[in-house]
Amino acid sequence: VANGETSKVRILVIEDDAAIRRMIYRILNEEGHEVFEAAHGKEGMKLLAGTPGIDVVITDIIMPEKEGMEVLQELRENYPEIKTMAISGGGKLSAHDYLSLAKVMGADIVLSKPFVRRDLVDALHRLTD
Amino acid sequence: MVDVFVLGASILLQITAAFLALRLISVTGKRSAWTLISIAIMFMAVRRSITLFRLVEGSTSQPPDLLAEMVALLISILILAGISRIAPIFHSLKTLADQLRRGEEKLLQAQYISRMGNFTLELASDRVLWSDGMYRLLKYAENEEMDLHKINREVHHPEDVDRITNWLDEGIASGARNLHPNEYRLLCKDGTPIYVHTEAEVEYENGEAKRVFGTCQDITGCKQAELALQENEKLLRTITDNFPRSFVVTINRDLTVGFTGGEEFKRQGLDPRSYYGMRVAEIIRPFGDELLEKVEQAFHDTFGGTPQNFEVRMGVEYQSYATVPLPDQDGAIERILVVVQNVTERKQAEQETQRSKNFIDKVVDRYKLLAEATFEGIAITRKGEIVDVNQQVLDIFGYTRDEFIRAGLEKLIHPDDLDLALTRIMNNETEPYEPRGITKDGRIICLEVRSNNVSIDKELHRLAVIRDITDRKRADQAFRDSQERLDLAVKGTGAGLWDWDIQTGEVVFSQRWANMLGYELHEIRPHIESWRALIHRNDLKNTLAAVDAHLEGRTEFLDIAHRMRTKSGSWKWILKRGKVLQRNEQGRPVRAAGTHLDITERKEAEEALRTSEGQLSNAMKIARLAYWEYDFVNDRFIFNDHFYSILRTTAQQVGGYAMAASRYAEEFVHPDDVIVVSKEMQAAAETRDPNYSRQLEHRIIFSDGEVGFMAVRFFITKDDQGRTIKSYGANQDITERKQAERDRERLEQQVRQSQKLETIGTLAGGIAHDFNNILTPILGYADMALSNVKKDDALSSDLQEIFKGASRAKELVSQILTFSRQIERERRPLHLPLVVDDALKLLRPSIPTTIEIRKYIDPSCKKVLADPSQIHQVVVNLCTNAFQAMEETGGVLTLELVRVEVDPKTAKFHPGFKKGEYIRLKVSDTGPGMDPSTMARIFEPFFTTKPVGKGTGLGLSVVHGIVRGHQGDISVQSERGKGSTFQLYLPVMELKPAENPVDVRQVVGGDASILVVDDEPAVAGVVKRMLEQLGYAVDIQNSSVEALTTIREKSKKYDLVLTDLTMPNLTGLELAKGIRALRPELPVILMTGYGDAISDEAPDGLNIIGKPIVVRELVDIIHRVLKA
Repeated sequence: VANGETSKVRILVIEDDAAIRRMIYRILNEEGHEVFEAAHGKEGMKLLAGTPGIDVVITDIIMPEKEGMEVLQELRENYPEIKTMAISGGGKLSAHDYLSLAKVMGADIVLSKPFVRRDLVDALHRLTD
Repeated sequence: MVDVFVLGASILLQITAAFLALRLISVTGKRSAWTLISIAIMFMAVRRSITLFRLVEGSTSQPPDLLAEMVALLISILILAGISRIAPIFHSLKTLADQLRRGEEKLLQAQYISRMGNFTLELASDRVLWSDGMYRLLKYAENEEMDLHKINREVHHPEDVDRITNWLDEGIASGARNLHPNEYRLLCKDGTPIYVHTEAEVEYENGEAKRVFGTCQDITGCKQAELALQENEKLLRTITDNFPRSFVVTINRDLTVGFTGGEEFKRQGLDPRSYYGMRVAEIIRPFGDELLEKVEQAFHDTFGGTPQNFEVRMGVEYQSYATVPLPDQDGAIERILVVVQNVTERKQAEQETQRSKNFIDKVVDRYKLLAEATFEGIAITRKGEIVDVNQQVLDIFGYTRDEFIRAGLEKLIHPDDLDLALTRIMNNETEPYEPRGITKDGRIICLEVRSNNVSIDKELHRLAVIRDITDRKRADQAFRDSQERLDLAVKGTGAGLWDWDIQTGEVVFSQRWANMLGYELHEIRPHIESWRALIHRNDLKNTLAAVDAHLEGRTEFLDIAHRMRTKSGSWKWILKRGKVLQRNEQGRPVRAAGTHLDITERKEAEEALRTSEGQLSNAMKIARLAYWEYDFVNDRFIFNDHFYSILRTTAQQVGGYAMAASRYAEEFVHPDDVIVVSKEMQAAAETRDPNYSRQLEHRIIFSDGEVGFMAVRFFITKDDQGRTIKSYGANQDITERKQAERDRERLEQQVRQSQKLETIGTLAGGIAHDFNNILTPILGYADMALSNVKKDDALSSDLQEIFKGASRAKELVSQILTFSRQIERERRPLHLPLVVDDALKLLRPSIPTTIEIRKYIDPSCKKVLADPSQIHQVVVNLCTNAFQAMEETGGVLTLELVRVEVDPKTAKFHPGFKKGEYIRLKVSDTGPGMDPSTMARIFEPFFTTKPVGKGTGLGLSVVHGIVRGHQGDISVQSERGKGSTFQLYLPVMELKPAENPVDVRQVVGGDASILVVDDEPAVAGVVKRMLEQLGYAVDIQNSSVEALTTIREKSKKYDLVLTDLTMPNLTGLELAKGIRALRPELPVILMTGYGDAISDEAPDGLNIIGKPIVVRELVDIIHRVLKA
């Protein structure tokens, strides 16, 4: 369900799972936002540096090259004005709740996988309100 | 004719005189003198011969002047008489000189051997001459000159110099010729001190002392010998004490008393020791000078080598004196033995009897010696023939006088000794001898015979004094034997001897006594204190008590073992044995003697045995091991205290140590094991193997009703017919071991279980992550596709199915993550009773009425830090399982919530548990229960006992995951048919206790200004209301960023900031850091549900309060923070 009232936001999606990344892209695109994609943290940060005016970064937590946690930390340090959303399917070997940790690390909002369109759109709304 | 006779006589006499004069040469020397005299006399004889020749030839006209010849004859007679008078004198002189020379040689020899030396002190010059012996003794070079000053300086021991000087000065001043013997120390050239015994003589000229001659004898080495001698004398005394009615003493050459003993001392209540060293004169003089003179004379004669026997009258009493010289090894007589016997009774008896006037009596009248010895046997012989004997001799031999005389020596003297006796008689020898005699009845007796020649009626007779010394010999022999035996015994047992004069405290110790303790005898003062001082402090009381008991006559013997300190400081066990030997008239002990025996080894062995017995007993006690026997014949167990103590009872309670097997089985063997035990006994009874032995374990019922385990090991014994008559064995209480084994098994199982679950959880967590990634697009696209198709489109329902399936998968993964503790939600202090009540409220409608719910909740349960929804889920899950188990049968569901203190023992069974307080939730049902194999897998994921479709099999594994995730633990107990019980533990939240707990009322009226920051307006509102009620001024900020701006702008307004930890944009922690940068003095309190996890990262001095906020805690922390 497209929400025409939503103002256009420039969003960077960092997600190593291409299927999920494509899905997020499609949902947000259909919502009318401008979406940039990166397959891992390192690429994401590079893209961020070369793309002015990014409002929101949506990042997976567990990724190759650069972990979501590192991404969050760098964003907090270098781009404090950018709002962040962390998404995760849960921990691998650690008992720690990554999303809780992400929140502590400065993610403005967290979203657990799997999610549906509504979940993502609601989260983005809460973030940009 | 007369002329010729006179001349001839003259000539003869002169020649004789001349020869005699020549013979004197050999006696006196002086050869030339006697030769000249002899020649002169010969010339005189020649002169007389010429006159005689002429007279006979008639060649002279002149006849010789008869008168002149008579004078010459007279002169010849006088010369001969003179010479013959001189000869014996010189002869005796020569003998004397020979003796003297021999004596000197002997003296020199003796000095050399006996370490003696002599000296001469010239009083005028103080020069001192030493003999070689003296130089040798003191190790000085023989040419070294000596004078008194030098000797005082170097030789006389510094401590003895004054004494020696006084002794000399006083001796000389007294004018005495002989100085009292003295003993003092001298120093050898090399500094070694020696003891010397010195006897000295002063030489006077014209009444003035000129020089002192002295003899020094080294007595250093004699001490031991002296003391050994004393010891022998002790033994001697023991024997002589029994000489009837006698004083037995030895007299030294200076007529002082040495050894004293004899029954008469005791009889007269005299102390024999008090006479030691006294002069004979002092003792005898009170009885008259006449007696003294007589006694002294007799003693002198005895020292001369002749034994004396005499009788004296003292008042109305008669005493006989018998003296014997006691030659020492060199034959010198320095001591004599004197036996003084009270013979009053016998004397009186003798006087009453008229003595027959026989030949002896005549002799007695004439010979004083015999008169004095009439109580001795006397025999007179002539040329080997017996002439007469007195009654005493007849009494000795048992013959009548006629028989005796007729018998002759051959019959009376032992054949072996006959030759000796005859030789003595024939050679007129006077030495006493001791032949054996034969009595009329054939007994062999010992005789002492002293004989001498006497002239009776001008005929040479031999008078023999005969004494029957059989008894004495026997006593001597017995003494020697006993002494040898004693020596041997003493040597053999290694016993030391002691002899204690109780009144003076003096004790004579033997060499061995001292050696036993590592001392030399001279190192031990001969006093009872020496003994006492060495006794071990802990033994002193008992020992002295034992000694007192014996001294007081309460014990027959003294027999006590005690420890004594040796010279080296170590301890020895000494067995002291002894006996009071003498008591005075009041019955008080006077003297005691006995032995010391070193029993250290024995004691140590005893001690070791006792220790090892004690150790064995202890070891058995510690090992809870006990011995028993079973008598098959009489069906009797024989137990002991050890055994009963293992059974936790006593012989008294059981009623003795014997017990029939049936009773033992009934009272103590576990009913389920009675058969096993009785089969064992039967097998033991029936076995043919004599070496049969068995080991088994069975359960036991202790007397207090508890069940335990007993390990049994036993052997058997068989009789001749091969029947088992006895078994004996040891039982060990292995309850603890069994318990520990079971505990260990349980623990191992628990750990295994926990590890297994952990592994599965980890695996599941990993799968879940990927699974969620896979599910995300499925669910996402299905969702998106759904929104793009019309609802009546057939595709829509298909997509719906995809969406539902994916959703179920999502839910499942979420459960798995919970079980594997991959998802942790916010925790907060939780009051468990509320959660339990909540869950029950939710469940009650679905619980059948056939199930009764019993609830016990301890209201004092403290909070736990937990996720409320997860705990809720746990309670619901457990309760659901419980009532599902009883759905068909009905039953009781019990819920119990209590505080428990986890001790280390409990902690052992729950990995990760700490000592401290926990809340225990117990959920039990009365359902069918589980078998052990089910129980073992109950917490595994996907394990279920329910029919397919009823439950995912994840319920209990999720519960387990949640509880473990809360640092708690869960366990299950169940038995088939007996229901199941789940117990879960959660740790009580640790709150840092307030240092000064403050009563709420006391803080009311606080006027501080507080900023509350919380992104949730509701929470902020509640806190604000609380604080305002306490009197604080409160502002609220819902955004931490704005809060920081406010603080920057109105820096002075607030006294305290109270902030939530989890907030968007700027967390509480970051806010606190920011505030610290802006206003370091402004205190911040963090409100958190994260507890310890956050406080680890918190900077020092950060104040944290757990949610939900409790007024009291809030008051405490604000108070504390503001105060700081």
